[in-house]
Amino acid sequence: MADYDTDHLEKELGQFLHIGARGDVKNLAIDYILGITDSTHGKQLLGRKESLLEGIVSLTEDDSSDISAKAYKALINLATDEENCLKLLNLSKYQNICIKWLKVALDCSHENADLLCKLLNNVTRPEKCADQVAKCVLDSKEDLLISKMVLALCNPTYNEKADLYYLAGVLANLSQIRDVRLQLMDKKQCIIQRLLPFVEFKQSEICRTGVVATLKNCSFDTDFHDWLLGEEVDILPRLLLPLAGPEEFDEDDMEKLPVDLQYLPTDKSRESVSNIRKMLVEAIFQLCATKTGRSYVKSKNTYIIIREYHKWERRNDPSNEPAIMNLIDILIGDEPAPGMENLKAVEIPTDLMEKFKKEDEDDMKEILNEGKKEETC
Amino acid sequence: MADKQGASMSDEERQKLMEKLDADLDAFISEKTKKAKINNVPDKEKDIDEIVKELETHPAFIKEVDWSKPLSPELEGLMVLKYEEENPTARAEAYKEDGNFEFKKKKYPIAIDNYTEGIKSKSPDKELNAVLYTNRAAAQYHLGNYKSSFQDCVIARKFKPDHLKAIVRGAQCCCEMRKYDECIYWCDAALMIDPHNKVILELRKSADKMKRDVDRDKRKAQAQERKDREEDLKLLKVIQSRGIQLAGMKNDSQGRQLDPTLLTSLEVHNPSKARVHLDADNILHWPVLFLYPQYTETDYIEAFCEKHRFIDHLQDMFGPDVPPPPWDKEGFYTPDRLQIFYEDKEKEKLYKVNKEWTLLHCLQQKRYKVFGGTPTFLLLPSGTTFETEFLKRYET
Repeated sequence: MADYDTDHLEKELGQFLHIGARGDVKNLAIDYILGITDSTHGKQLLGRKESLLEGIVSLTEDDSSDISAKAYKALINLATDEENCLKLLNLSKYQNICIKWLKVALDCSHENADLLCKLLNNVTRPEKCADQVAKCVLDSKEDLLISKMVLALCNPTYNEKADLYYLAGVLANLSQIRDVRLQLMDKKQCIIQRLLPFVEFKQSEICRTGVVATLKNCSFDTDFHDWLLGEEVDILPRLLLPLAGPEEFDEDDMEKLPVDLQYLPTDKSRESVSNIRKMLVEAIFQLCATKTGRSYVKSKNTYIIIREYHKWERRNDPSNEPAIMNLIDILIGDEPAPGMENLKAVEIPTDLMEKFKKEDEDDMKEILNEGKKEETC
Repeated sequence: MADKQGASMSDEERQKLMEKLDADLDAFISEKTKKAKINNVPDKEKDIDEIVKELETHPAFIKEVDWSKPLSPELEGLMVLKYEEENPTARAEAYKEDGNFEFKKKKYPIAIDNYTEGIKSKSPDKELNAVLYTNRAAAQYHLGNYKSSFQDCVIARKFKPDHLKAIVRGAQCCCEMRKYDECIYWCDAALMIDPHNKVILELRKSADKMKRDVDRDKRKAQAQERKDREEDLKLLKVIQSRGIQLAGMKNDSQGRQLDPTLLTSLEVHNPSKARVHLDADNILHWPVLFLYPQYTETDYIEAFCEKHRFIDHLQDMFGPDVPPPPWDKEGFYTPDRLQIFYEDKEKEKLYKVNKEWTLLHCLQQKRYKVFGGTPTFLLLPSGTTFETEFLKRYET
């Protein structure tokens, strides 16, 4: 794409990127901008001019739904660039713009709600930005925003004009922040529980990915493990079910499994997205960090599900091997010595840490080579 | 017609009729007053208890209305006055109050009637209607009428979509009706309004758990069915590989025509519901029926090993060490004298079975077909007139 002179661009287009400009010119201007946002270079160029960014934002409120949709699409493209995300969130003309966007996303009759979800999903991807948005959300007077996001996502008829699947991605990004997780895991409400069925949500891979990522993020909070594993949430079967296949187990093994995993039909299939499977394994691994959590996960016969999944995964995506092996080691390994039961609290000497890292890397190389060999066969 | 008659009536006649009517009316009135007097007289004879009783039913002194008995006229009059209110909202309100009063005393059917009357008043007040339906739903719920209760909850929400009590009751009804998915749906609606509602949080949790238990039980039953079917198919394959023909089954070498139901129509002959089965050594054991047409008696062998000979069973059943059956009056039923036959039902022919044969050998005969999963044989004592006559029937 040709080089753009940003000053020139600002001078020529800036005046039309304004809600008060004439309809046909506005339309042409936003079309042009949308075209520029298609390329990495164009995104970076536009990002340098705050006035242009503000102009685009102003057009998201245009009376013409065509123009506002194009403005949102331009912003979505721009927000794939990490630098731009921070700039968009800190435009001097638009304070706390993320709250405004979130409100539109959660407006149950807004036709652009899906575009807003995409935009928020992109904008919250960099951790810094997630942090900033989370702070805005938590500080805002409408303190129900996080739980409202969950409600909107989980209610299929919330907005007839939008699916809101990308909201799951926003939740996943925001749940990197501890205070957001505290809201998701409010023990006096029913919030995270509602997300659980969406682990098996066949209609949307995006929604599934977001929900599983959110659950994985929550699994890092050791102090919530007992609650997550207990009957209030009962998260383990939800994490295991997508990893279970059609294998039959004998009666004894079957009865020890959580009820949701017993007597699965012969056409039971595993989660089709490799990355989701990996996140599920990692979440279960996290839940094994404490002694009580570990013994609970073991007592539910998690091992036989993971064992069968492991055999299957070797034929599908060998790059998930290290995550699975970490989990299996814990499931069938001996309990650590007294005083080291909380695996997260155990201090590992740096030299050993280096050694483990290298071993992991070597393992990975080996696995990938094996994988390649298989492919050429 | 009437006009004609009136016209034909003379003035004299009319005069007469009028006089008669006057007289009738006088007679009626005097009769009436007499009766009234008679009725009034016993007043003096009423004892104090009766008067007290009468007073107690008077609306001015009444403490409690017994709705199961007909109301006293005074009370009925008052009731009509109370509900004759022109304003439908006031009427509905009055019925609601009465309904609530009865509800508190746990007199649910009466409360339901009151709420129903309130609903019938058709008040334009949406909130009031929502309350009437919700309260009726509560009364129905306490009587165990969950379906009616649920319907009222649905209607109550049409009047007022965020009426929390109606949503909570609806969720409870769904749970009682074991519609757990719907229950969770209603719980979620309730939590939108009151995210900390403990009753709903608890209900949602238990509905979720019960739903998962029910789902598992369903899957378990399906798994069992699948297993049974697989075993049946295996059994049928073994039977086919032996060259045994089952009635109704085509001898398809591919085994595609196998239908496990072929083996299940046994109940009539089979009080023990025994079925042919395969033991660990891959040997079949059949339920076998022996018919004795002479006396219309039968013997039933629950598991006849396919490797055993007929004579072995005859020895066990009719040998010298065994007391003869009570119906064998002439003592003809001995292993030596008994002849075994099987019937080809299509051709209506009898074929003789060599007593030295094993069951398997017999079942493998070209003309042998197993009906109803139970091999059946006819046993006749040889050298009897019954035998000759019985065999004759098959000759034609």
